[in-house]
Amino acid sequence: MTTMVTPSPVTGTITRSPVTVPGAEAALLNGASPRSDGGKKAPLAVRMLLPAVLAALVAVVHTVGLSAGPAYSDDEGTYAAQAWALVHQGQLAHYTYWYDHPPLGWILLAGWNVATGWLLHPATAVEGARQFTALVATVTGLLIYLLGRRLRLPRWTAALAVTLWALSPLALLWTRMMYLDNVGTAFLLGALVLASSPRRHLWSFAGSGLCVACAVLSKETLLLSLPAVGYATWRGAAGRTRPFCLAAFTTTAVSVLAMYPLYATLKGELLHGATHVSLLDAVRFQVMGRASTGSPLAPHTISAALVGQWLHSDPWLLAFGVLLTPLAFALGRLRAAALAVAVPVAVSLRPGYLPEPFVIALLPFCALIIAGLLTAAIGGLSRGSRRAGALVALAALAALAVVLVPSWSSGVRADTRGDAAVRLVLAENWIAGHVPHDRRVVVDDTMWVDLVNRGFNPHLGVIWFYKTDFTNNLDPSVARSLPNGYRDIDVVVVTPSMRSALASLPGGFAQLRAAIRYSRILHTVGAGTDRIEVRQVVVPPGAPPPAQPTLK
Amino acid sequence: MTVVLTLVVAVMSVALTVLSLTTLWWQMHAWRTPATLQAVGFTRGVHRPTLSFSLLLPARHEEAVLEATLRRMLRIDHPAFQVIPIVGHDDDATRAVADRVAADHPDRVRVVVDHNWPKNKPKALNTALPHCRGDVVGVFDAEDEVDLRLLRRVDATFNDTGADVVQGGVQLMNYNSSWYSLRNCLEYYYWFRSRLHLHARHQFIPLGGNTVFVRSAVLRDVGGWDEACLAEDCDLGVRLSVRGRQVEVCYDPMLVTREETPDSVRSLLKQRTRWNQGFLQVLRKGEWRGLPRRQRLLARFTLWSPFLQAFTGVAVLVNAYCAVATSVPVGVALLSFVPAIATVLSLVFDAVGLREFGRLYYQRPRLRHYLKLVLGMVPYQLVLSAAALRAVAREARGERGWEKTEHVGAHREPDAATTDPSSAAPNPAPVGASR
Repeated sequence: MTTMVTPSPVTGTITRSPVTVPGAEAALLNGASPRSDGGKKAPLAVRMLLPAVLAALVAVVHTVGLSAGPAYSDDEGTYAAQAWALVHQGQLAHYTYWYDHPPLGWILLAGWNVATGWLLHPATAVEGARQFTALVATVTGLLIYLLGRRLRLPRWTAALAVTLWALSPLALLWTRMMYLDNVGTAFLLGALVLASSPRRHLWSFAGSGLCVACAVLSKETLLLSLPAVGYATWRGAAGRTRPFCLAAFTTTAVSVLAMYPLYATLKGELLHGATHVSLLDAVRFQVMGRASTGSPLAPHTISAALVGQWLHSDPWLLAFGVLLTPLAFALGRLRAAALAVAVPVAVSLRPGYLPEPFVIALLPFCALIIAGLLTAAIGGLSRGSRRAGALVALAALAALAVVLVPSWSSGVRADTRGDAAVRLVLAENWIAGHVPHDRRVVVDDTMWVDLVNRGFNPHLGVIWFYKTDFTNNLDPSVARSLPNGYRDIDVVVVTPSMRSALASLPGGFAQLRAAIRYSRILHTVGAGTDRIEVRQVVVPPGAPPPAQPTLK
Repeated sequence: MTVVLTLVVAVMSVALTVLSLTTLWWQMHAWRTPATLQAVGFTRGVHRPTLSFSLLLPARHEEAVLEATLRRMLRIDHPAFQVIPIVGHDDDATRAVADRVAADHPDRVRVVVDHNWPKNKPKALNTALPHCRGDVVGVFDAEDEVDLRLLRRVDATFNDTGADVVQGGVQLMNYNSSWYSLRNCLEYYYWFRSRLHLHARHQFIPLGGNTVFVRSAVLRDVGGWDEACLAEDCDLGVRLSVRGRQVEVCYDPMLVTREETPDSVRSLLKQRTRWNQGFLQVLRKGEWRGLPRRQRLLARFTLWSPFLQAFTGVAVLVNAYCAVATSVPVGVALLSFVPAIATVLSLVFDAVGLREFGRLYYQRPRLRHYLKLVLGMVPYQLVLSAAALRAVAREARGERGWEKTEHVGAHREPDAATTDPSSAAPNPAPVGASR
């Protein structure tokens, strides 16, 4: 059958947008962006100067005393070890990878380690991971500036946003550590920058989709930021090419994200099975299986304590950012940033599991909201007068300085000083010199790579403490290899993070508790709560047989 | 063995990704930014016509559609043009139709008889070139439905841009006729609305077979069309590009020349074989080597692209299958799916393109059309691959005869087609001309 097309010369007019002035159109085609202020573009060197200074600032605050503070967290050790496994074993983890988190973050870390291994010689694996994190932070700082500019903030307020984020003790505390959220947040900002392409370039939206997929493949909680990027894309793609832009964004995002379940499928680990880990089980564990930390709004919950701890580090950035978010919704250009704060905050208020580094992805947007609203306020107060504007701006900056400098300077000092890593290295040195390398040593994650590098066997010679049972993971491979439970352990290195894990899960880690109970101290580094004890397990004749760990 | 397989899959995946993305990048040129989309239209201003046109209309065994085409062209609203139908000395039926119209309009229509043997389109065009009195020579096909406002717009574009060549849009319209016609229509849409603009911008352009306008002096200067080439239009574009002639491509949905898709998979295959073989010939002639480096690269890739493209679609699937069915590491298997992202992206763009195509031409695509689009992708790609293979084989065997495309008038509204589509004359010999 044939369809006939109606050529309609009379009604055949289609709506076209008004003809652009040829000069302006040529400028657009040549890559210039439409400028709201109508002024001339500053020379490249001038435009680059401010971002360069900001990048230097971020790089400095993230590299000073790299290992001094904050104290190493277990998670950092986990990712450092998984990056090690990728380089040395070609696997996503040296234990069974059980889909606890998507792997892009430590894949990139592994790449960094390979690329810089010959040049940088970090004292510990975690220090190496933090060097990578400093790079990520620098990129993040630049992206905050760029996003600020694309949201039409003047240079100085865009720079202010970066400065607020870079110097807030709360941000600094979390962005100096190797958390997957840091990598994901950089990708998230990249996605928003690309979605705000001034030329509305089609492939910029495909790039935005790629970035947002990478953000989620770095840290799954960034799924909560999808509404923000979706809104930015919708807004950024206005015009006759919008359908294609949205198609480019969505298709790229979905198909790149699909690589993760595809990976699981290719390994035969997508759905639940009796003999293997699976993506589905891991998702179920993360969403429903984790012990709730309660709502931050309820008193005496772990979540409330965590939020209290955040606000203690810095009472200003997070609190002001969140409180000003409803106002930011009123300004179209700040709406995406407002969504990036509002949605995760709303979700975190429900009683559930609130991950510690959750705050990382909020802070850049808090900074942008504060800077954006400040810009709007100054514009409103000065009513177009440049002189008035400058005066108001100076007054605002002075007020900010008076409030922030005293409280932040001590916070920044606290974040960048400490000697936890020194004790760690001392303990590692002692173990390497005094414990035979064929012994089975149970450690927290931060020590693992360092001991393997010093000659201990990566295959069940050094073991992460939380793998001794199923208290906090779903990987059965280690527990199965230790049929005698705590009796199969020779040495336990008790660190502050191990003690806090034992304290936070009173019913958990039965084998580890038993091993510590039947052990004697070989060596102690430091004193008080920060001390590290190297303990030898000595099972007395009458000790009870180990209860067989079972998978929940 | 695994190592070799791994390497093959890895290299294939990277190559296929680069290839598909490049093709897609070029295909989507017009929609790169709203400003680009704005720039691909004709000049919008009102101008007094200043040029005169000679419109060539090669027709071979086209008595079914020629009269309607001619009578419609005579209604074009430009003050100064002549129409020159070119008919074969052995094709009385077509000649009778042309003569009949010429008798009604002796001032506007001049029939030229082509005595060459064997016959092909470039020979017919060259035969008519000495009879052209206009400042500009335009080429159309016998079944073309030309918009009546087109010439004024082309005139204005020549004046505004000082171009030597103006290429207008051609659009297949009967997207509902068969399973492949939908994809065929979209291909034209992308080519004329988007891809050709990129070529014009980079000053290397394989011109289209019709709705192409060249200043007479420029055309005579390059010696007209290459009579030995199966893609005389592409060849002309390449030669003009090498000489640095300025080409403007203009697409206005309302001014496109409407055509129909080949009436069977067989004719589609023949048509594609001819184009591909023509591209091969242009590639072998090597005149494009005279271009500056950047354009040379584009030329090389463009002339190769029918072959590369033909196999990409199929190779993506084969590659992914190999990776899954064999024992390569899971990371490599994953890599083999990366080119599929480009394929999926292109499929989604097709769906959006179909929607836009429908809006422009007052057609509302239904769910079944989208289904056809998706399900037709692989078979269509297979036809293209077959045509590419056939072209290479024919060129290697030295078979260079013209395989003519049949026309039945499926792109016209019912009362505009003069004859019942089924009565179109079959074409006995692989000679004749039309595209």
